[in-house]
Amino acid sequence: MQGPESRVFVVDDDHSVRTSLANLLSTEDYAVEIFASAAEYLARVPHPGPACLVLDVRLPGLDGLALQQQLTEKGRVEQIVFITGHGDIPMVIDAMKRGAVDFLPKPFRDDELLSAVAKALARSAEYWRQRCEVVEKRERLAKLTPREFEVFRSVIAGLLNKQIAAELGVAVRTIKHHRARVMQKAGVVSVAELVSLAQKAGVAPAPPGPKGP
Amino acid sequence: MPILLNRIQRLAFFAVFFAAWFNAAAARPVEAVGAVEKIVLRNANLWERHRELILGTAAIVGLQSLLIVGLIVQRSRRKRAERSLRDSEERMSLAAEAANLGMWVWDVVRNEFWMTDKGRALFGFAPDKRLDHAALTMRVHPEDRAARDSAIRRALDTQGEYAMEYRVLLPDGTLRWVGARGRCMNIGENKGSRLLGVSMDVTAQKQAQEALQESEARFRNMANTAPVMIWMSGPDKLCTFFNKGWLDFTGRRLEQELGNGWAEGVHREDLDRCFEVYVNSFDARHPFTMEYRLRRSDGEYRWVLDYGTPRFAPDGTFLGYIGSAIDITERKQAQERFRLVVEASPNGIVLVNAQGLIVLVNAWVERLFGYGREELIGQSIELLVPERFRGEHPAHRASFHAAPAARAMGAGRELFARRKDGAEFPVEIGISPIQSPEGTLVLSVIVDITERKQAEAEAQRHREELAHLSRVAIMGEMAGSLAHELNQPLTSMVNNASAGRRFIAKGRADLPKLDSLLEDIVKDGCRAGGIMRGIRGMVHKGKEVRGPVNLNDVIAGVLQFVRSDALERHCVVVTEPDPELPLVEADLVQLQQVLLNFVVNGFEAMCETPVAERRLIIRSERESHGRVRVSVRDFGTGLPADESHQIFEQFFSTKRDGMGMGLAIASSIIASHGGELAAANAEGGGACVHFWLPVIAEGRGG
Repeated sequence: MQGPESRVFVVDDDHSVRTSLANLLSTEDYAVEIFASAAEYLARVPHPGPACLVLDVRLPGLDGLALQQQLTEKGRVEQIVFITGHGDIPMVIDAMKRGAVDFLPKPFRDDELLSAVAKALARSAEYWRQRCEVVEKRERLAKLTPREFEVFRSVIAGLLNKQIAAELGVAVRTIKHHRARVMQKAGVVSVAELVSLAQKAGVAPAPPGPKGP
Repeated sequence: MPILLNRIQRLAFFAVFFAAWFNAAAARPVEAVGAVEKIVLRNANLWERHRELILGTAAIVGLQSLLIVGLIVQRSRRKRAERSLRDSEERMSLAAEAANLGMWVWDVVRNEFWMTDKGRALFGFAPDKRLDHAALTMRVHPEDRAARDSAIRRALDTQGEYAMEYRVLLPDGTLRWVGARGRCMNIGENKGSRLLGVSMDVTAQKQAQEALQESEARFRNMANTAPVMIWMSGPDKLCTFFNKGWLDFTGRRLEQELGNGWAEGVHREDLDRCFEVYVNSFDARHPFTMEYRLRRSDGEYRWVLDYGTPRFAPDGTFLGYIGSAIDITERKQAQERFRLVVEASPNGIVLVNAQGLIVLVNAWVERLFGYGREELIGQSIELLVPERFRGEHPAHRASFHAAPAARAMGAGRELFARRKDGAEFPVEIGISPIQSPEGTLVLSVIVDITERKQAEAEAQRHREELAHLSRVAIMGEMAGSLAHELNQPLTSMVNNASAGRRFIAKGRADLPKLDSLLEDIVKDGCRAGGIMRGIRGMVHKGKEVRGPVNLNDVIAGVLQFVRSDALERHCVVVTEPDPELPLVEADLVQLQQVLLNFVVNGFEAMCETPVAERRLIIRSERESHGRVRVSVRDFGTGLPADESHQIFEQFFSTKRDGMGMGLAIASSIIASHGGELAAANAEGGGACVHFWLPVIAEGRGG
């Protein structure tokens, strides 16, 4: 898949540790950016593409776990590989529960880190791909007129043209026309495809129930 | 005629008188004596008078011519006799004149006074004044008149001699002593009513005699009231005088003491020595001083100090000795007590004179230095000073003599003394000046502080051991943090080495890139080594090493240990070092230990502080009074109000699992560096702990 460029970010307060990580990652031709603190990283514009964050647990100010939490809350796609000077088991469990890719105690072997980074990037790329898909579907749905969007929601709710026409108080013929426009704009040929798109785009079907004419 | 006879009689009397009074005093009176003998022969002519009377009556008729012849003869003889008599009288007068004698005759019945000019001068009468008894009496000193009258009366009554000395008061107020001698003469028609005599001026003798008496009296008075015992002896060594003081002391009578009687009171053990000194000095005519025991009136023998000196007459004749003695028992006892105190003192005592020679040492000095007393007395004090200090010692002595005052010797320096065997030992010496007749003496009290030094060393060893244990304990607590700190460079090294290998494996290695990686590896290796050294310094059981230390380095060293711990505890450590901080003389490791304790305590105190407020401020600053201060301020729970003074005590801990040793040891470390420690709650919450250390004196610090 030819996607956008992926990138590795390193956050460690120890200068020599972060530069050595950059050196190591550069052997695999990763694009690497290094930061001395969580705050510095947060200040950067989110990378538009798959990203891996190599994050030290102990940081001055905001520490690694806190940063992980903030990123999750923001729905960021970068996948985190934790590194720590002195393994703290409770922290490891916490971090892994929150979706960290790996937790490497310092010092670690090069392939341990590189494979963890590769895994993280792959996972990030998958998330990125899904994210892109949703965005594309939403973009498609965004082309619908409000009336067409109403019809779309009713279709995926499984209503018949007749029912929709009754609901909206228009002629069945008109509904048929809207339905054809929706199918065309969403780029699907079947209702099943349309339902799947709606799910991916996160569009809820129209609530059932009698609606007065 | 009567006058002629009187003259003869006078002459005769005076002649006899001279003989008696001036017994062979001069040549002239001897001649006078010869003249008297002639005159006595003349006296035999007296009977001629009777014959004249008889013959005159019988031959009135028949021997008219014979009478005339006789008269002529008699007259011529008389003239001759008168001439001779005049000569004789003149000579006599000359003699009397020369002898300064005034001659007189007193006809008591007729109250007529005849007196030579000399005599008149004595009483202040003019040569032509008619004299009588009353006139003379008027000149006699009123106080002496009665005595004189009675003496005269006695002489007249007994027809005996008259002799007395009395004062004459002249009209001009002059007082003079007159010596008069006279005798009643049973001659002439008024038998026993005539007194003949001589008078002379004896004022000078009288004054000399009075002076002598006064001096004698003064001496006795002085001798008897003097608070000393005084004795005198004659040239035969026998004592002739003891004053009241002596007699009161011994409780004996003068007669008992005279001669050699005094020796009975001398203690048997001292007697021979006493006599020896006395006799030897006596024979050599030298003054002497001796001490001996003399029995007091209560039977107790008392020590006396006797000082005898020879006496000489003005002409140099040796008269014997005079001496004085005082009771020195108390002094002796005091001296003895002093000697015992000095002797028994458990410190060395050395008395040194201005020349630096040892005058006195006590038994302890012998013990301390291994010298016998006789080896030290008279030797230079430098004998007891180690060779390496001997050169400068006389200068120290000189400076002491320049400003003598009691003080500790070599304040601030460690002093050593040298034993006879050459071994040195640490001492403390107090010196004080003593003014004595021999000049300024220096009293040195020498205390052997070997044991104290050992005890100090022992205490220091204990402190070091305890400090070490405490360091190991706190470093153990910090183990995780330290491992983390050490892992950082190790991680970098592994990463960089791996990167290099990967570049090589991929054939993408270029030398500059590899060199850069290797350079980083070297740097991190060194860093790891530094951390290891720091840890080893703290954990290693080494001896205290003091040297100039910059407290900012101490802070940096501690930061290295706590950085990771601080991160884990979400504590921000802020340092505010004074870039101009002067150096202190200290052991770096021990100060790191102190500061590490402060910092870790600060971290622990902030467990419950909101993360955003967990700050620890380490500040170094120069203070006045030559001190530097390091403070650690946290924003934790603060010190319990009523226990803040206890936090530096052993086994006091506010921590549940604290041993309570850390701050107690910190306190002892700071104290051993001559510093101070304090803790207080800070304004705005939390506590502030400080320590102060004295800076190295100017010139040594950087």
